[in-house]
Amino acid sequence: MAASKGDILESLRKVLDPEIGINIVDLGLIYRIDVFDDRTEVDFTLTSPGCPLADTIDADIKNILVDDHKIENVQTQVVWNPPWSLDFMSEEARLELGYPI
Amino acid sequence: MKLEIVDLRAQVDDKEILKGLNLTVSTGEIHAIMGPNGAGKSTLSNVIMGNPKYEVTGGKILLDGEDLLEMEVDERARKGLFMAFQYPVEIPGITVGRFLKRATELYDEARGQNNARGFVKALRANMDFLEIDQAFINRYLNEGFSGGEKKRMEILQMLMLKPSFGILDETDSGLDIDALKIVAKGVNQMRGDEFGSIIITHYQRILDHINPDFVHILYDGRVVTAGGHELVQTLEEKGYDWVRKQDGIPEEGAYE
Repeated sequence: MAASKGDILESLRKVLDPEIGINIVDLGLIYRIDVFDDRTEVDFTLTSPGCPLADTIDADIKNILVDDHKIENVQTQVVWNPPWSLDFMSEEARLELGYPI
Repeated sequence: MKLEIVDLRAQVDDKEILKGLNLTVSTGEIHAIMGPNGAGKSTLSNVIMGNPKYEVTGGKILLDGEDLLEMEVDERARKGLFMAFQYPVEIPGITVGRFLKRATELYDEARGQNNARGFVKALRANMDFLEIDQAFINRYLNEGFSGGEKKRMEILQMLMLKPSFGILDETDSGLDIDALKIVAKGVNQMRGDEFGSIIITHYQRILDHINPDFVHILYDGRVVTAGGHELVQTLEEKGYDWVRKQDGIPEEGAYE
């Protein structure tokens, strides 16, 4: 059976933002996941424009989806709208970074 | 799991406090330890947990056969020991939420578990259960908390960590009846095959709400009498002097 959006999201929790050390799902960086017969599309953002980590995170996303679900055709896209804000983080991430919840 | 204390002797500032104490606690059991001031109750809990102020001069403590006294404090905590302090410390700069999150992560790590996902949900549920306002998540640990709030915070830690053994060092002292009931509720919530507890107390009151499986009376550094809940009643009626006379302990031995 093909991996569902939920399965994919679960796997993406293993991808950390290397600068912050928190996974990209809890940070709220994943904006869209769509699973098609022939491909999987993932839109993600970064905590600030010009963040040099796009390529690293992009590669990590693709690697983890191959490892976990054998999904080879992943089309990622970095998006900037809406701009990421602190409100997108999960409560766990906020706690970790010292923001009130 | 099994915590065995065998012929334990300990001193603080060159004064011998524990004089050959024996006690065995298994998970699934709640043990109450009662005793007058100076009997060694707090020394016992501090020695189990590894407070360096107390020097062990004899005997042993085994956790499932492993030598507990050889372990560092954090190692003991990772093995499943937890102590609720008699006087919880204030830690400015660390919020309740962050403190508990990190502590549970470390304990999970030690047990090969991962409950990070449900952390905040579990935290909020346990705070509701202990009637602690959710705003406390963002406050610095114990800073400016009332005595009752600090004690509740200790119980919250216990509920979040789910240790194998919880030692409550006079957690009930200084609590009003409502706070006392909440502390008891927390202990009763933990009750089960996976949890053992040592409740150290002066007073019978908290034991009315917890109903321990075993009651031990500590006197002059030793467990002198042990029994069931009925012992609490006897003690309440006859006082510690009865214990002293029954065991033929000379009076000057009591508060030396």
